[in-house]
Amino acid sequence: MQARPERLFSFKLPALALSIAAAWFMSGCSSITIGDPSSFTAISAPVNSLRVNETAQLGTHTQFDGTKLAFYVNGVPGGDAKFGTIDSAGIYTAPTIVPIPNSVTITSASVAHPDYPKGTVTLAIWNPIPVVNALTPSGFPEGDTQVAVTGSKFVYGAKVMWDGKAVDTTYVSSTHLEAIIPAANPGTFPLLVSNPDPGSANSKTVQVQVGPGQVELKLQAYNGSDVRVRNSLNLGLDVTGTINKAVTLTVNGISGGNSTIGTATSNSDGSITYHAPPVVPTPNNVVTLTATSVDNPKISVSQNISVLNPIPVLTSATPLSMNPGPPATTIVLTGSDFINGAQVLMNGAAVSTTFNSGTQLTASISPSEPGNLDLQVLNPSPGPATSADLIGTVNGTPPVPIVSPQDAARFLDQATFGATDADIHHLSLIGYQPWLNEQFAAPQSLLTPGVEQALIVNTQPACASGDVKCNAAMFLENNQGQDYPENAFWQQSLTAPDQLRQRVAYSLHEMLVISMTSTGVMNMPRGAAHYYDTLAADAFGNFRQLLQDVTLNPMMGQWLAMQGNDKGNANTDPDENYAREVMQLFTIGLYQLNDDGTQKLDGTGKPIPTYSNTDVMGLAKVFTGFSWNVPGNTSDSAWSDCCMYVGPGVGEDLLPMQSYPSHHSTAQKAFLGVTIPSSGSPDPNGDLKIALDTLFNHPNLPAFFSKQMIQHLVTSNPSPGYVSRVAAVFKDNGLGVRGDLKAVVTAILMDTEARDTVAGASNPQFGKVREALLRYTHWARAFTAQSRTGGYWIGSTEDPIWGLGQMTLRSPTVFNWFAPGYVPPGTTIEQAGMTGPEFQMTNVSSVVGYLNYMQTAVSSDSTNGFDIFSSYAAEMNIAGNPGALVDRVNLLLMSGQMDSTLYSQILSAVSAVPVPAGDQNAINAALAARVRTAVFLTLASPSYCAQY
Amino acid sequence: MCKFDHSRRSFLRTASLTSMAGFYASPFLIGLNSLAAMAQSTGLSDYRALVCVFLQGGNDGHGTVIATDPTSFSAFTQARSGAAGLAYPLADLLPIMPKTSQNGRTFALNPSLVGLQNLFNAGRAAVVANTGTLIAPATKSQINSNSVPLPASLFSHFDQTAAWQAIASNGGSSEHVGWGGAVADVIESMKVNSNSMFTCISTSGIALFLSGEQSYQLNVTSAGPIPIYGTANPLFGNSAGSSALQSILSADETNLFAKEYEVVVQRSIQAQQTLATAMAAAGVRGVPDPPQYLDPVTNKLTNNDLAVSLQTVARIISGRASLGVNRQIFYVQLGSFDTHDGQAEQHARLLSQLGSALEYFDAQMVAMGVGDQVTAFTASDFGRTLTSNSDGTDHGWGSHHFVVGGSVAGQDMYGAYPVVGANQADDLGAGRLIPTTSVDQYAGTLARWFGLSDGQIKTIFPNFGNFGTSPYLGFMG
Repeated sequence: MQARPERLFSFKLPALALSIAAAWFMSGCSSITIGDPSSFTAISAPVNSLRVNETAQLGTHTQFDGTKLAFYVNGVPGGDAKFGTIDSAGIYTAPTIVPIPNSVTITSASVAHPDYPKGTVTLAIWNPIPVVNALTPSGFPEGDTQVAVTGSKFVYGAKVMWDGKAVDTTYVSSTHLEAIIPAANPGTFPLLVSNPDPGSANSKTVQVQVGPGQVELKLQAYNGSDVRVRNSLNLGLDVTGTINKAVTLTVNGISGGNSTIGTATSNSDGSITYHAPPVVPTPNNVVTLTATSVDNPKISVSQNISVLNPIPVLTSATPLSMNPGPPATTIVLTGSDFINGAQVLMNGAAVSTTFNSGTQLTASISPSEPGNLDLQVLNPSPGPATSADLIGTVNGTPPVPIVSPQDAARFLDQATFGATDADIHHLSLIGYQPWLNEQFAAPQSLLTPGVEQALIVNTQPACASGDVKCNAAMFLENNQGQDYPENAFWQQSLTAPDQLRQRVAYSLHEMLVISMTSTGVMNMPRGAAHYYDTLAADAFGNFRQLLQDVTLNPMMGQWLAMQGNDKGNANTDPDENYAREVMQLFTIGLYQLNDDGTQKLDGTGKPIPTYSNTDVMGLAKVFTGFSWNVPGNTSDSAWSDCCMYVGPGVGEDLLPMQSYPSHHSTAQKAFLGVTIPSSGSPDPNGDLKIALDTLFNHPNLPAFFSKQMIQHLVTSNPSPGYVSRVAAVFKDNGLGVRGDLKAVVTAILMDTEARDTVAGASNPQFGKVREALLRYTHWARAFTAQSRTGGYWIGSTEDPIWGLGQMTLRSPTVFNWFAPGYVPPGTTIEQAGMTGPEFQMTNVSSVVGYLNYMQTAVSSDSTNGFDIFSSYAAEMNIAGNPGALVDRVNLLLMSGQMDSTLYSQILSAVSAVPVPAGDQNAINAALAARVRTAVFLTLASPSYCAQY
Repeated sequence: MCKFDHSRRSFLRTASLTSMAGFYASPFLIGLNSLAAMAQSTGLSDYRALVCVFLQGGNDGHGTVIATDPTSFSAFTQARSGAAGLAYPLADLLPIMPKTSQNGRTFALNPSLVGLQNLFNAGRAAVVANTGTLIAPATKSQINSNSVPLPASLFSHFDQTAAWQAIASNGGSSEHVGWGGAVADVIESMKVNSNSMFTCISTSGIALFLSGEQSYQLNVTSAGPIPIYGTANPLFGNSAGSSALQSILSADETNLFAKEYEVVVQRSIQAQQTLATAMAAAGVRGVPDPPQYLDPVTNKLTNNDLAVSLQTVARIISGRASLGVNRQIFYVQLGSFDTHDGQAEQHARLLSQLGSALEYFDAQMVAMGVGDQVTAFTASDFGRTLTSNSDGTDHGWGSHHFVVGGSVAGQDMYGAYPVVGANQADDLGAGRLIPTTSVDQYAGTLARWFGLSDGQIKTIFPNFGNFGTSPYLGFMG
């Protein structure tokens, strides 16, 4: 076959195809013999691969032998959009997107002789060559910069290549990529975009200018900003924009600090260590550490650090046994790290104390009852902490306790964040009702002041008290501040004396949920703490007040969209979120209930809904016209903008929402059988009162609320009788008052179904899974755990692998970490027709997370591990006697309910740790291993993970 | 769903006579052996997986798939005029061209869904329009005259989430068996997987969707399966402690709560031992890490948690041979879509994550060679209202969903896209759509692709027969 170049020019071919076809012809013929039918249909491709949208002219024999060919792409005549198209002249056009798999087979058939063998070629379809048009920003200083790369023909998987290395690239669209460019040094650097295979190809290179950086310093208080005297606090330091990362350090302006205010040193890894002085600095225990760049001394950054008192160590007391008083016995307590103002606690209550020295206190105590005496020392603020317990004896025959220690421990497990030695002792001597009365009378501990203080101390630069903008940023636009309410919660639940109130508040917050996982609440750490304090304040009051306070709380307003909820118009309706959830979750639930908690059924045996969507829409109109409370100001800006009225102790995040009549619906509002007629003048507060009164008086409320509180405190499946008895008290506390929460809590805890230990232990269906968070607080309280730094630096434990799988004020939805009706599938609990709410957060990840977290917690000590640790002093004293040790752990953690198998397994494991003679350090290490073994094996046992 | 009363459960067991008897098919308990006997004749020896991407909180379908022909688009824009940012400039939308006409209308996706547009155009994704919970087809007049049974508690998150994930005959949610779990039970009865522990896997806690009668779900986080410290190594330096720990974690427990707690622990131990070696690593040595997504509100590159969840799924799929599974069902969740408030920003942010994550996941499946064997599908409690409150929308009913994967007959829209606007035939009020495709049909179509027979599907979805003689949709080809 000879080339006939002159004939080619009579074809109208695209230039590229022309030259490709020409090249083919020039290269010589195929090996097909003339006359062979295949020769008529033979086709060839000038290339092996083609990029999307490109065309190729297939070589055919048509011009030589006149054979008309029909073409197919992957068997489709003429091809299609997915695999590419081909016209009758044999020009193939690749598709717009690379198909998967990316090879296409083009076949040709003779139109006149379809029986002739088909010609075939295969082509690989490739990605296009990317085009870079612009970078934004087009130049930048050294450091990490997020850059937008715009251009065209970017394919998913394209990579930005910076200085020859691929950078993590985000594909936004075919014309837009984003990447974070790590430019370590100033200079000019090449950037290009590389499309992935098939047919990976690079764009042209763009040269990018990187300028010298602005030095920037950032301190990271990743261990918090609290430290006890003599201890060290490590801070991270990020230095960007310079190669010279050195800094000079001052404390309170003094270079390097000094022995009064503490010192600061730089470490080789770039971090900074603050070394606290031996005594809390006065008058101000907050010191300021400042790092200044050596490269640019105009740039500096500061962090406030709170220096706290040490944890007292109580070694001995003389005498340790005494007669009951009066007369009082003077005891001398010896130890170390006592601070002036320290108090001796006898069975948890402070007694008159004289401070003699850092190693000696004198106390005048008058124990009334023979038996064990629990002694502790409590150091004062800042950073109050108690020593471990020292157990003494009061001579005489101990009185028969009103409540056995085991029953006392079991009660405390239900009513507090965990039983302590002191509380068990106290309760067993005075009995349940007196203990409840003491708790009802105890002043409320508050989260808010501490959180506010922590926010102020940790905000740099400090806000002037009149600077609303600065204060707003600190309190209401601060999503970095969540650690503070979290740590305050830990400190309070572990140490606050008003345990019953705090425990009830915790359960209330699991029903009347807000969460810092939503943007609005997340930004307001002080407000979130204040919401929790509000629940606690109302915990022993009346439910009607609680309902009012929750409804108007600005955090709840953020969470369920009531804040700024506007009356409707032609195009919009009021937001229904709060209206729906206040009924479904907070007051009446979905189905009508009998007073024993069982569902009412209609004539056909179906449950009866309590409300319909019409009720929701009607109620939603009531919850309009409430927004930020700026005293004396109901302007449009106060309605829609936050914040104008913020400072220490004051702010829109703290005050109940106020009403804005012009934003309140005046339409007719019908809900739950009540109709508020439409009116000429808006009455937000009046309408609200009607709505909340209606919910409060709804027949469902007593059983709905009572049953859930029982589930939170005592048992997941209370008998109908139990629910009835408590619901009856909700309806009428005996004095004609409905909604008396103090009476309801009493009824729940004092009911025979809660108190009957034997019945509970022998009924496999009684009880509940202990919440993982409560198992942790239980351990911490039982073993008088302390915070090494004083800041209770635990943060959120919501991670199911690295934490406990849940955290206060952090549930992912309004349904809390578990729903009251949850039934674990495929279990004996399901088969028995029971519910197991806490199983909803019990999964193969979280059970492991709990075990591993507790193992670290149990083994933490004064220098290693988590911030919260126990020195187990009381347990160490008896660890030489494995039986005594296991008995103590059994009482503190399991109310004495350990079964004999578990007991002997733990006993053997403890006894298997030999205690050497001689070296005291080795002895202590062995005793500590025994204690940790006993404690952890108990915490790990499935028996402990349930509560009955 | 309140489980205060045991008698409700017994109601479901015995109820068969109601005024709507023709519509309620009783959930008779066929033995699973019989279910196995109903199997398709072909053994399920290839690998297939379903991935449920649950959009928690109620995704606004109206703003996700938008009709862009002039009549529809102006009705949409008008309806959404009450809140800034809930209507879109036409030029910002991402056009899609379904092969099947929906009364000649044109369509586009929300501006944040580039990834889904790419998948759609590549024929690897399809839209399933106006899908929602139904017991039987329902028209507006039937609903208004109470002459058709409806799912219970239509606009309640809790109940509708349950109804999507666990279809029951009476329109409430099944007690506690999800349809994914029910499908897994069938798979288990046919002995398709050699290890049933890895059939159902969630990356988002315990999902009702995956709860079965016989099969249990595992939940796995991106950290992979973690061993319990102190079992393999000495506990506090004491090997007697380790053996005590192992005994204690397998002790006889009488209290049901302790007993069932222990079951979970034991399952975790077994799962960890296998999964630890089977699951691919995250990153260059296994399944590449997903890129961050560009948050459309802050314009900052931000971690995409949904993509990380799907990476975890991909890592497990990668180990399918070692896990001994031919059929797997996964559950991942993204939320919160409950945009009563701040919808313009929140919806854009979530859809960006969704589009990026699905594009990433599909690329991983293709790279792994299972691009045609894994189908992801969205689900959500409900859609939302068409009209808005001042900056968001409220709970709706029917919504539009996506199915993604190489086996999907993509670049098309299935079901019937509603007429846009107020007082239309499918509008129950405020633009709450009466679904024209049921979850049963949607799920049944996926289950059939997965390998279940008609008989098995009708058992799992008792109301399936209420939706015509041919209830299956065509999106799986």
